Amino acid sequence: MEPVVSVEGVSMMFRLSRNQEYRMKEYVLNLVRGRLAYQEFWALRDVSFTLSRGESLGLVGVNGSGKSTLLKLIAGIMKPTSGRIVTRGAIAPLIEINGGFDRTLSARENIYLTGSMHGHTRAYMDRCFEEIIDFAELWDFVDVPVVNYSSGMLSRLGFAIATLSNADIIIADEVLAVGDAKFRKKCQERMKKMRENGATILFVSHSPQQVQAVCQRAIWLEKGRIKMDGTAQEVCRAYGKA
Amino acid sequence: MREFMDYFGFLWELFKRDTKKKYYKSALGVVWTLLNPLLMMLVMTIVFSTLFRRSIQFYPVYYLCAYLLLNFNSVTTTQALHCLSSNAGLIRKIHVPQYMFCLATVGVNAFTMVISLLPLLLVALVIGVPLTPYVLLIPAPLLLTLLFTTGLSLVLSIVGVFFRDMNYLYHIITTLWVYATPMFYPISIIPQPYRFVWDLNPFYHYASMMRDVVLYGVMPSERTLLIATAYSVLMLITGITVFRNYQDKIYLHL
Repeated sequence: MEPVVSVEGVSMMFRLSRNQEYRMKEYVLNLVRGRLAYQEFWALRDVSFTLSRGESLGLVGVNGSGKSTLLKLIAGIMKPTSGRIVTRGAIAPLIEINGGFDRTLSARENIYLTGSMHGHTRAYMDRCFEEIIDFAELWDFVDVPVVNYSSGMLSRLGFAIATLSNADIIIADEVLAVGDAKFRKKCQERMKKMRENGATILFVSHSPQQVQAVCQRAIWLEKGRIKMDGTAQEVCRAYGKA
Repeated sequence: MREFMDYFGFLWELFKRDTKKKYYKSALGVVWTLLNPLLMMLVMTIVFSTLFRRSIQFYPVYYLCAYLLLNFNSVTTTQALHCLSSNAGLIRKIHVPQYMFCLATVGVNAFTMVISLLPLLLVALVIGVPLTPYVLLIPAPLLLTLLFTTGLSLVLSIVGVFFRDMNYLYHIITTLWVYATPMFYPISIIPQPYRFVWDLNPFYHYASMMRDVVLYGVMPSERTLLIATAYSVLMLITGITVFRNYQDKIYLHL
């Protein structure tokens, strides 16, 4: 069977410039002084793996080990410095789910805008609108500008929109770290249901328990390299000891 | 192209959002769009019409023809400089064709430009400009301007990501551009040896086309048409090429 996600020798390099902002003034000054120095930082080095349909993979590792970068590359938000990533099917990216909302717009308007980014038509969003608000439990705040929302409310809204369709690939970055226990459970159930429908899951979490609950397989990343690839239990046990 | 069609709904939602935001805070809303060119025209007419009385007939229309096009370009391209960074939240979250943010900016302002035709035609009727059937060719200069501005916006949206302080410099450029276009003065005051500079300015040609069809009621000359089209197509190709080459790096600099 053809893999749904295939990551082939992927490396990602960031240039950390000394200046925070990119300004013409600094660029010209540095050019004249002859030091356009960048610090190179390799977030990922030669990472390869494949996922077949219905598989669920957890990524574990300390902060800065390249987990989120890998997810963003697979979601197509960034392009790798070298290597190749091939995905087959529709992707539901659950990345920075509480970000990216337009703060001056209401939840209703944001739902349509974000829905269109996921490639849904307006008619489709009309049909799903109630389901989204139901799931996010936001009926009292539908027409309130989201600037007034708490971060938990934003996360609920983001999760509800992103998991709307029957995506083939779900890319989830720390999604279960937000919201209260009841909502977390609801999210977990929805992801489980999507997996049962045949979706492939990529899941990042700091908690090895969650990885074991959601995934069969796990990869341990350390300084951008794969340190271990195996069943979720094996990898989480090894990671927990380290 | 396939991708463009897939995300057309997204472009439409962006367009609606930006239009709404534009008129959201002002009490007069869309009325400003009608009023702004009229007020500008009034000021310029009071200041300059006596100066150029002999060389320019129907001064308000002469001015407005160029003003609509040039103002569209200045406003759009200035906004294009930060159209990507102001949508950073969305770009970080999900993969979408990033040029859509640029196209939405152009679209919103193009909408304004089309609405501004109303005051232009109104003024033309009121002061008795003899309109001819050639006035139906108005879409031609608008379309050529639109293509040029789209190309330039694509380039500037990339520039804006890499150099956040570009807007200060760009403001000077747009001001200079206004003076380098015969908007409120006739081209005849420019001595012949320096005319080539004006010939290099695409907006000299777009404005000439606009005036030919609205004010003078004639077909624009072949030379003007050819140069204007060439500028538009070249700028659009440049814009697409630049954007394609740099779009994968946008995320890293947001």
